Amino acid sequence: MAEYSYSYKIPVGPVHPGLKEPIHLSFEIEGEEVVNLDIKTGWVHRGIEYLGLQRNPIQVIYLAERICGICSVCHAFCFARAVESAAGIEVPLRAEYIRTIIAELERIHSHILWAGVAAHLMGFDSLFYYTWRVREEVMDVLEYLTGNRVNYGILAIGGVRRDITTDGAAKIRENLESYLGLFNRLVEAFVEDPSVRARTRDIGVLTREEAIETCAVGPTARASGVATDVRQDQPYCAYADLEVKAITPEAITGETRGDVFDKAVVRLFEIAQSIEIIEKCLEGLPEGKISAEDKLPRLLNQLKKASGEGISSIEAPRGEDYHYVRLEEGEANVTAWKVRAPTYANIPSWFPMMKGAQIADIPLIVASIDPCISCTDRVTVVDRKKGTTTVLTEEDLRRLCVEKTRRMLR
Amino acid sequence: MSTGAVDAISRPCRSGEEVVAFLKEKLGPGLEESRVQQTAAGVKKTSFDTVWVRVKREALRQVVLALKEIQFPRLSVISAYDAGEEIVLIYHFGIQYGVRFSLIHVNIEVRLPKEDPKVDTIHDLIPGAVISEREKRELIGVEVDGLPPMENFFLPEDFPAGVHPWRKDESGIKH
Repeated sequence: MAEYSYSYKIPVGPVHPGLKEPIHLSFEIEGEEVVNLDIKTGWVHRGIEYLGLQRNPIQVIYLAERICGICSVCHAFCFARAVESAAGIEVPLRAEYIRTIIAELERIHSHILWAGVAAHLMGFDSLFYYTWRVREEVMDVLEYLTGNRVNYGILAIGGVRRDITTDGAAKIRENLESYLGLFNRLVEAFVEDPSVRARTRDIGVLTREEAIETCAVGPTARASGVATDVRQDQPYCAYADLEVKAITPEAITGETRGDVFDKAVVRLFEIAQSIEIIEKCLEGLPEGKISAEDKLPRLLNQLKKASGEGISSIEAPRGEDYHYVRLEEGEANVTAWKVRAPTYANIPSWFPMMKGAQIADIPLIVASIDPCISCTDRVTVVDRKKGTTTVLTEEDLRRLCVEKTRRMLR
Repeated sequence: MSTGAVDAISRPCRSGEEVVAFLKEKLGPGLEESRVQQTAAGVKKTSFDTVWVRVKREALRQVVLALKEIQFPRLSVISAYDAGEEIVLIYHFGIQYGVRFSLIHVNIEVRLPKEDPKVDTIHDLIPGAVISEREKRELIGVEVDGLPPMENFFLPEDFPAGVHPWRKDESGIKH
């Protein structure tokens, strides 16, 4: 066996490559065109799954929540469902509805955040400021409901920790109304605006075949015409009572090209869809308990006795989130845990999307799957003809991207 | 859905039991164990099935080919854990996506003895499997037969060879 040092303790385990973390993308280019791409990740591999195995399921909830700061509920949500499935815990209906509402509020803020990032990359900074300003409204509602802007701490094994009161419901309704008004303006700014369209059309194309073969998920797959959405395909929680239909560009613009524009269209219209889902959830919010067991020692005891394995698949803002959990009788800790965040599944789709792209389009294409934007940091460009290697920073790339927008607008 | 689409469902299965019966027919003795789990959701208690199957490792590629007859399977991820004498891999597939109430998750368990932790690649059948297979190679030391050698994807380049963080034996992480 190879020699290695014991002088440091780094828990190494898998965490998905979709966070605010450095991803190394090495592009092979000819002139301006990308001919090949290599990806390296792992710099912020925090070993979260490894850490999870040193904890009991209740403790893991808070760890799972910290996998991602943007979709902070979806991992806790997915993990809790996997544990409930393994231990055979039935969640009260009211809790299922509250989970759905929080998850949809999260989708709204996540999609608006993405729209802002895309605007910034294209050089439309006033649009970026506008979107991020309006995003604050939903963050305020989330804070009102859960006590936190991010990492809501609302999920529990077997339910949720806080109820939605009449006041809370009123706050949500007020927020939804305001967003309904804003939605048309967002559509005007992104879908109907000729310069955004010119900048994003036919760039970073992912065909339907490629989306299927690379196992792409979420808006990335839907923008290529694959009408898949876990909320539709296998409705869980309150979605089982609602008619959620996967949004594809064809239903909105009449055609599907699988480019960056289509990905923007899908995300924007999903904001409207989320508003509708939340309204219906508030209308049909069942009465009753919000947790299967609120005495934690008793719950822990029950989990310790449980034996089994469970999976959970939910539709996070970026696509299907997937958790696998294994519990063994007599063992307080989780004995196996696999987290598969949507970006993990969407990274392979960069390969076909990047082929033939221009350097100035790289930031837009990287952002089109909605990973963490700092991922574009530390990009190496190898010019095959000149035989040179240059390292472009995120700022350089954004400058190139903005310059191209300006050229197109001239 | 147009029938020519790559994600067309060419052989619909209405339930998890039907998926199991189909796999049994295709794999014969390659299929060792199976169970179907039912989950209900919402006020109307609509339920969906989850299939758990254990197969011999030689049958793995056959499973993928069989699932492909139903629909091009979406590989969500490959889970892995150290079970003492063996390494357990679980391939999480989704079939019949794209249609309301029809998605079924099919979890395929393959057990590999530690003295020979080798499994066939499926990345030629499902290109999206590459990252997950690389992850299993790096983190739990599974040899993926047919997957070309590549640099570490998740672990640092200078990570010591022969150390696999998910192992609970001597090749795991020491405290």
